[in-house]
Amino acid sequence: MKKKHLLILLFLVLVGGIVFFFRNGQFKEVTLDAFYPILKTANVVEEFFETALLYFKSQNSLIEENQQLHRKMELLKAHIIQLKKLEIENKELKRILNFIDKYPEFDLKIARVIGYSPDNWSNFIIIDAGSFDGIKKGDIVVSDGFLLGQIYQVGAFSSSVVLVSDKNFKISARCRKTREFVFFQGKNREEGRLIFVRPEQDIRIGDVIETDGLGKVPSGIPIGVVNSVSYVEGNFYKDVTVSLNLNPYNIEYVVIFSGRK
Amino acid sequence: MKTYLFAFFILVFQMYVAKFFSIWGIVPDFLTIFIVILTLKNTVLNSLKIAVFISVLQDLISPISFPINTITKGFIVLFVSSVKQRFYYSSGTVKFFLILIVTTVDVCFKGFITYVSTGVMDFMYIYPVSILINFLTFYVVSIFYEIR
Repeated sequence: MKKKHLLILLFLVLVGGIVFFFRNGQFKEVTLDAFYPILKTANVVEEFFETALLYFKSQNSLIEENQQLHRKMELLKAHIIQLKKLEIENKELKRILNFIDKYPEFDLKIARVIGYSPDNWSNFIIIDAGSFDGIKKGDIVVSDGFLLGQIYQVGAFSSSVVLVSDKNFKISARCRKTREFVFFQGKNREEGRLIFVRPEQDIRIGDVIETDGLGKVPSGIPIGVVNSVSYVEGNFYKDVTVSLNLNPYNIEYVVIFSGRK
Repeated sequence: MKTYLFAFFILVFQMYVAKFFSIWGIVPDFLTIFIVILTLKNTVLNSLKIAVFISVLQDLISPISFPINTITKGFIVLFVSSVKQRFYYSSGTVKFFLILIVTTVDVCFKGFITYVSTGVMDFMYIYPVSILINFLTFYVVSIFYEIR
């Protein structure tokens, strides 16, 4: 019985102690202080992990953003290249249009070069205009304001142009200054020659050789400049060379004179 | 059939893409080089058939009204096939002389025919340069072929 009372008392003291412990501010502060280093450490660790996670997250997003910017930059670069190409093309077409305006009485066509001679011995090009575009055999082809050649084969959609530098190219021409009629024949990419030039004909070095305007050929289109004139006594004709300096690989667009309107 | 298609592809390549390999406006003759390699690796009859096929196409688009390429390329096939039995053609010197002779014959024959048809005899730097370019191209192509 005595023991039972003692247990009840001990229980009451314990409950009272607990109530006192929880109601007393000092004990709470001590407990709070005791928890501080643990909480603080936990917080620091959490902050560290959070920062680390954020760092990796931001790095990934930065890498992604960088890749996207790179892609955009490449696209813009390609766009700039395309624009530059169009600008050059535009300038060239404007130049061609200016040239076309000088010959209102002729039916002129513009074509693009789509093929070149497969060897170094024949000089011709293939253009993307044929009989469907009104191109005919013998039409005169001009590039950069100079005579480039003559159509010699016509397909439905494409044609071949024998260049002034080809040995098979022959055309009647005249000298710009002296108005002498001559025959021009191609020789190579650097020079051509005038054939059947009689000794009494007035041909001078530096004189421009141009088309004579006979038939459907327009007049005044330059072919080249007289480079050398020589004559051996007793010969029937003079030897006259004409400088051309023609590189067919640089030509992109050509103008075709397909008859008078 | 595959070889014929490949030969046709080489012709188109020669007509449009070869300009990117041009030096002073002179382009390497990939067709001749192709025919030389083809003859070195094939029988005369097969090589001749492909050479004639490709040369006829080349002559059809050329302004010269004479089958100049058919004759020269046919000759090249016969020449190379007769040479290949006698020499070890992997040697650089033999390669050089082979392409030198082939290109020289090609040049001289074309020059002669052009002279007969147009009356213009023209020897300029283009001839030796084209021989050199052909040799270099042939050498590079054959090295690739041997590596493969």
